[in-house]
Amino acid sequence: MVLLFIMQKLHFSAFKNTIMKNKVLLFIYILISNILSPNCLFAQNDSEVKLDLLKAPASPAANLLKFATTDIEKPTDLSALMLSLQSASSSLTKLPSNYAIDIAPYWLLRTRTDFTTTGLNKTNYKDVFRQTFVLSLGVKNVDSVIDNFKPTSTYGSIGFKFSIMRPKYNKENIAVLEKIHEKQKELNLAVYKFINKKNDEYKKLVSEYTLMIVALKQQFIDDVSFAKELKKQQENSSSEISKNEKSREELNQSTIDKVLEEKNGLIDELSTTAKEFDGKREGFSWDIAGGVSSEFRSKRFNNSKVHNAGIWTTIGFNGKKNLSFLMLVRYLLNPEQDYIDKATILQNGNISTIDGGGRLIYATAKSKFNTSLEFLYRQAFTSFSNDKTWRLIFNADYAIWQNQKLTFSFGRAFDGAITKDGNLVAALTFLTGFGNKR
Amino acid sequence: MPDNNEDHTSLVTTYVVNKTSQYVTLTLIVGGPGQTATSLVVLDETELLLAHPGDIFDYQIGKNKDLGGRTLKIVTTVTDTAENHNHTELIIRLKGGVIFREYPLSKEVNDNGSAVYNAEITFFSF
Repeated sequence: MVLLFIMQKLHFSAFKNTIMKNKVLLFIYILISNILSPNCLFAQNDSEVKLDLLKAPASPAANLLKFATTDIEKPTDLSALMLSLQSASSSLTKLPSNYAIDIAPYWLLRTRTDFTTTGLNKTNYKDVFRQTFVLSLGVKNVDSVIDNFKPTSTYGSIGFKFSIMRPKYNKENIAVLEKIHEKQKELNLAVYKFINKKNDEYKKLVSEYTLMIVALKQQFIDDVSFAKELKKQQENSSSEISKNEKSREELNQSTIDKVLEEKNGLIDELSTTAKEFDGKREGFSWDIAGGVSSEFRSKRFNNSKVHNAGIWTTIGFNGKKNLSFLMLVRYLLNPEQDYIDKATILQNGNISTIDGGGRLIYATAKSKFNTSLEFLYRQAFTSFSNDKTWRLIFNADYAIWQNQKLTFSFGRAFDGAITKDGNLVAALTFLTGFGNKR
Repeated sequence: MPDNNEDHTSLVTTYVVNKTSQYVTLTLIVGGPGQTATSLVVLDETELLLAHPGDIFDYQIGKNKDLGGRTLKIVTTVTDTAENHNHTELIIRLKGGVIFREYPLSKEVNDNGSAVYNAEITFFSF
């Protein structure tokens, strides 16, 4: 940056008599200098609350206990869930000390909920709820005081997240899915046609298998005992029944492999079509999340208080014409907290905050220009006072190259000051300074 | 039974039925989340479902007493349309016969790849 600054200065000296003439050149130069310095380009004011941070967290319980996203267990089946629980609890001999988990019960139990794109395109409340419901749990113990967590206490939390409304996939995606189903149907029929023709080796295996099954049946007088014994033998890879089934599976598989080789073109078409699917939806969505965490003082379960609690809701709309809208409301409660009031006196009481905001976004997948208008309202309640403030910001950006953007923002900050930000503002301000007639 | 670490897309097995009028039902659950699937289900030479999209829950195949000696054939193609994984699976569940049975099949595919699953289940009457 220092080098660039010196170069800019040198350029300024060289052009000082012809400023107006070279205004454009200078502007481009400054722009390039800014772009070459990514830190400057994407510098952000961290003290501001960003709308995206208010979005309902994926894991509310873990969020309340400040777990990192990577530390949250997300088992995808029942055995993974058991493994995770066993590992965290030393084979179920003690309570986990630091553990956060997200459980999607309907996915784990896999009953009457279709998680394929067919099911995920349904919009009725029952299906949407089952597909999106996540139960979130967390336990935390710390060694030293960190973020209001005390080493003498144990913290536990429970949370939930689900969607009430979800739009269908957009027309392009629905057309892609229909094409995929058509090609899959064609492939299934081709495989079925070939697999239905059995060779002598297969027929011989079937005859041997039938004899084995009939012989096994003779040993039992009731059907349940027979079925259980058959299941046992089918699951024992060294049994003759299992070996026979395996041999026939291999013969079928080799037939399928030949068919797939023949239908290579169809497989490629399926792959090309699947690539076009991007999962985008059009319409309204509404998500709700909530959670509460407790502090168990002296690590005793009969001595507890609410540590913090929160509820989030997000309403969104994705329009056809690249226009989308997002509305968020968050309520957070932090009971019995120490804080300093306006008269700089240390107080203790409940602190709760309501954050609400909306964002109108215009963005296209192919266009380089994106713009948004963002409004954020914040009210903090304490036992003694309540403060409210708001922020309104207009953002615009233009992609010059794939990872380089010209950004511009303008609006009112929480403290009432008018703000302007972004690398475009920096460049324009610099240029205006040079161009002044003094 | 399949080794969990290996791709397993083919199933040949026998399901025991009795002589009652209770229906035997078929459930096909496709995974992982976000994949796209179509299934063909045939009983002997009769097409029960020609091109069923997505999962199938408790589809009545027939009564126990009518199923002995018949073979159920299933061909399911699962194509990877999921954003964050390439895992495909097919869980076949049979209910209503002598005992409940579940057969899990699975395969990892390349990005946007397809897996073709095939099952032949013969009903054996006790």
